[in-house]
Amino acid sequence: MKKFLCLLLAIVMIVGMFSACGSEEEPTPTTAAAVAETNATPTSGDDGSGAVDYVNAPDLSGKTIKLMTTDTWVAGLTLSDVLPRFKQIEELTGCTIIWETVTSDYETVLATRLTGDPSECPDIVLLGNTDMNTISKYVEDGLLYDITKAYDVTPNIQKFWEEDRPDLKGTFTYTDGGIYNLLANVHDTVDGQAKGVALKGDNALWYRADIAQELGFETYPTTINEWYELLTAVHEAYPDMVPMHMWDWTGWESARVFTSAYGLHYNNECSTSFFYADENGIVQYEPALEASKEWLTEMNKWYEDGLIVVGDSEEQKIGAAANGTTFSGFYSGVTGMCEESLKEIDPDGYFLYAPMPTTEGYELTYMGRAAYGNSFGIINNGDEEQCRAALQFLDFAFFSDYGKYSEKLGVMGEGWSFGENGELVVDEAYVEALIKNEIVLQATGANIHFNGPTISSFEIDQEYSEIAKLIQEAMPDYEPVMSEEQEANWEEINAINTAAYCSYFPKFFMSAEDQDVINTLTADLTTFTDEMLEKYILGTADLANFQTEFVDVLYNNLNLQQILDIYQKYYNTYLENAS
Amino acid sequence: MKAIMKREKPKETRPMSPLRKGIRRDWQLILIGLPAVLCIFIFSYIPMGGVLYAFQDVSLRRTFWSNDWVGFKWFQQFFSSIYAGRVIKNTLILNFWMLLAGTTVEILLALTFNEVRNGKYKKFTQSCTYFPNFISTTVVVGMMINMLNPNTGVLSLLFQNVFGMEKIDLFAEPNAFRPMYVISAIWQGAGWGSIIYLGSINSIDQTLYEAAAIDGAGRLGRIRYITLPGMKSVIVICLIMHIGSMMSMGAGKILLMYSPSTYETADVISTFVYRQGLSSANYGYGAAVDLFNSACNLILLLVANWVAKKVSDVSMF
Repeated sequence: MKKFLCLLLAIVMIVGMFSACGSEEEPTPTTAAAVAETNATPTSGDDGSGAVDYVNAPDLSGKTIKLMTTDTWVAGLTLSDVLPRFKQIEELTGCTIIWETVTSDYETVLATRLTGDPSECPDIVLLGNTDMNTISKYVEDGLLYDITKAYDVTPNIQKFWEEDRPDLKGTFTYTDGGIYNLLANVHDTVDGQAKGVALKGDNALWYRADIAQELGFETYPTTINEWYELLTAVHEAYPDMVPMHMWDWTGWESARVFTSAYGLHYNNECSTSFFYADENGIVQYEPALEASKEWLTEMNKWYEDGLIVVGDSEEQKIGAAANGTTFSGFYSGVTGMCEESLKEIDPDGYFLYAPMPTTEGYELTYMGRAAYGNSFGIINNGDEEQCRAALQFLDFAFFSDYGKYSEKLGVMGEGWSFGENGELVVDEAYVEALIKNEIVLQATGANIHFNGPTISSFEIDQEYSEIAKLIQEAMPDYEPVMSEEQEANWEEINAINTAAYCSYFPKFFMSAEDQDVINTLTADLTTFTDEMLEKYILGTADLANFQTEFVDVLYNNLNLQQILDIYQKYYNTYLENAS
Repeated sequence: MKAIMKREKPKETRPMSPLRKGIRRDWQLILIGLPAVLCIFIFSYIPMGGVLYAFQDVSLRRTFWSNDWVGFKWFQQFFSSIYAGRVIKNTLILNFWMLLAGTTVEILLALTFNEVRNGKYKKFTQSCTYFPNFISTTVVVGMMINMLNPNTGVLSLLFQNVFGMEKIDLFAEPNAFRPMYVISAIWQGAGWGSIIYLGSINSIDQTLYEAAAIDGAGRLGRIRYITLPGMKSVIVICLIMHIGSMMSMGAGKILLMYSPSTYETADVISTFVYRQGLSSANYGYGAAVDLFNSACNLILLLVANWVAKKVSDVSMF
């Protein structure tokens, strides 16, 4: 018996050990047709509206498109949520979609998958976060298909690159002139024009208006000096209150929001990126400029005077705003998140927003945001016809008018359709139901907040906002989060901030040699900069030696000029591509 | 008659080789050990071929042999960094403190448990020291951040209000990083780490203690002359193994704990490589630094083993 048990145990252990080795997790191919029949939706042609012409679906009859994605389609939406929409796309185009979904560690699974035979790879892959380095590697390895080769069958994509977003075309044009990835979603603001994303979350300082008024500050501060006076007064009157919560575990980064007061270009997309192009198109490294010293001097003064707090996590900051222990901060949507809790502790307490501060002698500049979300790539599997079909599918699903509307409002015919002249016609009751979450997303695949590439025509957001406003007004039990004063305040602040936007600094595709140099040199440059900036703010390094201890080291020991020259070269190319 | 004939002509059998004999005799033990041997072979020996990536420009689409060979490029890249010396120094210092403080506390804990006579109390306290080992590092660091928050942290407020200390953010203080790292690691792992020492104590012959008691040895005497010498071989082996990983330091906990203001003392090889590797997805670079670490670890292990052999006659090989 003992021998038998011993043998059994050993066999189980050995088999168990191998169980994870050879069994590549077979994706569970799902076709959109698997969606419940009750979700069947008429095409616009079926509902007799006669608007079917505006759909312009390509004929992909008999084609099978294999699509590899994460199972979380975009934030807050799973693949099953969007399946109804893709079922309709299948019906309209005649193609069959085979889904290959990955539940975790998507980038690693994708990289492993792409090492195999290209003919066995999916036709379309979600490239994960649009990281230029990774995409470069895929392109260099010949994995991705050049999208520009199929311009003749992808009019909407062509329009997107050439007319709507030449800036993005400039960014994503590879060094060989091809374009190899298609943005799946973008959150950005370009040259002061907000497109598809609310600015509220990104660029506002908030403060306790009730306390400010109590201390005699009737209106919001607009300059660095006014902020200093206000925070000092708060610190004196309420020593236990945190005057400004601005730091988190990423160190000094939050303090960078004040660089905009010194004419420096705070990069809202990436607070750790210091490169930007000035008004003359010259690439600069922000920390090495004299204005940085002024900003650091001010921040150090604030820190020494106990006006800013170091070392609190995001949760702690929100918690402090909600329980009334902090006076001000730089954080999105504090009104919505904390107002209610604050009222329970202090019924008179309320928040207002203030614009990014300025300072004498400098013009306020605030770099636009260009957060590239996921990208799609077409696998170059040697089958030209299949690659073109895959691109036609993406062109229709995401870049056509139908794609743009259905991304947000779900299947056509449920709550929206094309009007007689091709305009969007929305059923108010349907949008109301969406707002009140009465129609579950799975039923129609609607994702009203989706910021897909469709941001190029953000009229749908406007449409939604207008309708939402009307519905909210008509709902007797609806309690708006913001009071009228706060709404008016926000609109005012938003206008000031938006006017200060300047062009964002793009990301670049580089040659392998240049990328190598950048990777090697920027590692030390970033470490040194991070360390020194924090030391200057905390006062552990002397700002009197800013030039010799910091700027000179950047140029003499860390090859800053070489890095700037490389960035300049690619920025010039970007401008050419984008023009 | 037939029986007699058989005895006269015995069947010739070849003598069994010692190997076959051993297999026949110990096949159950061999079978039990087989999964572990296979595991080490598959997951530790076969991947060793991957060290060659340290000399290649790794590409996902190319095969292992068709990658471009780049010689010592990645090693040069690592050592050309102005921070190479600092991260190596920090790794060694942090490991030294972990070795010194960690091992000492584990041994002391094992000795203490061994001296507890009340069985229930002993089991309870042992369990209490083992529990932190099952808390994830992320949670432990989260607890530290909350407890040491200069404005709201329980410990910070205690230090300020009871001991009159200045309000200080320990997570932004370079000099506080190492003690915080080591103390939290001891809290989390000392109980679990003491098990091996406790095991070695349990294997000591009890009659030795009885004889020592008759000879008048007190508790400390018994620990000094019986327990510690009895644990010597395990302590030395653990020490050698720990020294053999002096150049390795996991990045996870440090990444959660450090910030630019503490890079000075907290940035170690693994975090440095993480920052650099993440920006460039450079597998060759990571492999090169790992190879360098492993080579240093091997040398340290051989030296430690040689010294241990000379000094105490106990060694791994």
